[in-house]
Amino acid sequence: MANIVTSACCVVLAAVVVVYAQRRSQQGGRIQYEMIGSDVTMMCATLESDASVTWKVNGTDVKADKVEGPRLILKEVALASNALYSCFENPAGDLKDQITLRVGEPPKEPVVTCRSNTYPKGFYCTWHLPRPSYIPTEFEVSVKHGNKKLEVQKDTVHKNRCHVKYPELFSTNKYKVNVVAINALGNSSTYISFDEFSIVKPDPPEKLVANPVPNNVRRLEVTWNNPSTWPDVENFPLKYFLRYRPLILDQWQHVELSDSTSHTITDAYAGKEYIIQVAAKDTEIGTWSDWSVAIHATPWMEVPRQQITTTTEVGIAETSPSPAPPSAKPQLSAAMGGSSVLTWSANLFIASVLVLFMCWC
Amino acid sequence: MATGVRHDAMGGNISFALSDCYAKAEALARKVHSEARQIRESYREKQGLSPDLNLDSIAGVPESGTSKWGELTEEERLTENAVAFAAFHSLLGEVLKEQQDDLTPGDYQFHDALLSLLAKVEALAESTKQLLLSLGYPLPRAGEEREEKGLPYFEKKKRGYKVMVELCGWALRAVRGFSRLKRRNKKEEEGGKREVKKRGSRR
Repeated sequence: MANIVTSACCVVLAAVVVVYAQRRSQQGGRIQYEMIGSDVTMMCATLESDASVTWKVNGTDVKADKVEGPRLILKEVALASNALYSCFENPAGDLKDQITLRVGEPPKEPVVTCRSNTYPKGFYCTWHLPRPSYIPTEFEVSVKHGNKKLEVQKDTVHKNRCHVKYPELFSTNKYKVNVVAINALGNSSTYISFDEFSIVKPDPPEKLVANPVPNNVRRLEVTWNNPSTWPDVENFPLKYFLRYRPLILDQWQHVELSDSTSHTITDAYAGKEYIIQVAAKDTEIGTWSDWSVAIHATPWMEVPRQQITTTTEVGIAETSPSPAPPSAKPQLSAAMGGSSVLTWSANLFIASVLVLFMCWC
Repeated sequence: MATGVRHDAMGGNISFALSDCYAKAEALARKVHSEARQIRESYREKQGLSPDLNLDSIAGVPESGTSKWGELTEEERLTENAVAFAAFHSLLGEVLKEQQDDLTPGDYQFHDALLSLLAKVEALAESTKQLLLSLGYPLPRAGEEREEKGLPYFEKKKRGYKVMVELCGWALRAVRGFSRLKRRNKKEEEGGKREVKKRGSRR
């Protein structure tokens, strides 16, 4: 009994799977890829040339003048032609075929760039199409060092990126990267070659901090961390380029530094807010990193006594580690102080009116 | 005066002297690298060679690429550098002669540049040997005398280019090596000074 029930269940399950598969193939049908601007012929299944069919696109009837027997002809297709085309045999109206038309372009030569921000561990390459192809396009990447093929690891997050380990250091053999773009309408490739050193570009320094120096109106102490992606700063040290300017000026001051992740700016304008950035480079090879995220800081200022009293009254919250420049604070304080006087005067006036009123009554 | 203080002072002096040697060797290697790069490009242009020219077939030129640089001991790094620069001193001499006699006979400015580089490479080879001796390491055995082979015209061009290319690689490798020694020595110096200060403060 149990065997009969089990068998029956299997048969039912199999039937469900088959029906589902049939329905799915009917719904999706096949995909037909065609070039933008071309004339397209869609064939309804394997019907005879004198068969009579009706075509629908996304459920709507297609005009009869585009139909020749079992064929649907579309002239100069565009992206708007993308749709699900269904054909039904006349007169019964049986669904015979479904074709998903996808219009696109063969891929142009991909644009490929390679960079090492983790020297001496390895490098990565990224690529993209200079113009969209509008249809699914795959990429094959191969890398050689001299005549030796290297292992390429796909990035787990970025689709168009791969990673390669440096097989050796100080090599004069070039690295050769070939990226082939392939889709249903064609393929193209890009080949680039470079040496070990020319692609080295660290990530920007991190955690840039600038603090005022107490009792010194012209100094700012700046510190930063090495980029966390740089694996071995002991043996492959970085040098740094610091730039800073007051917000009110366009001209940057520059300082190049080696062997240190800190610097004291000693020529800041007193009371002015500064914008500061740092870049990094390997001491011997490659190019400078992008600039770090910018930070703002103002040198230390002595806060005048009368302003301290006003500040305490209005309870202005400090948003920067350094005291705000007096040019900003007095205005804010005056405004806040001014509005307190107004409130007190108003209260006095109202009280006076009330007293008068009461007396009059 | 305690013996320990004198010993620390001498140790400090030796460390300082070594630090100075490392810094000078690093600076010299950096100059060689910079000049070799410029001459490499000049050479390639003058000889009409493609940057992608395959030089694999050229033998007898030390190749700078290594998969084990991080694993080598300081002695191994210095020894390999010393052997390489001695070889390049000899090879550059041959390249210069080929340029003078055959490949660029009238280009005296180029010959002078090569001569200047040759002198620096000789100095670098010598500095590296001195460092080996200072650190108590044995000197590498002198290489065998190279037989000057008469190469065909195009092979001379290619070999000369390979000499310049690999010299660039070795010079950069030497910069890294000396820089590493310098930093390590500086850390040891600072550690030694802290130790002396501690002993001083305990008295």
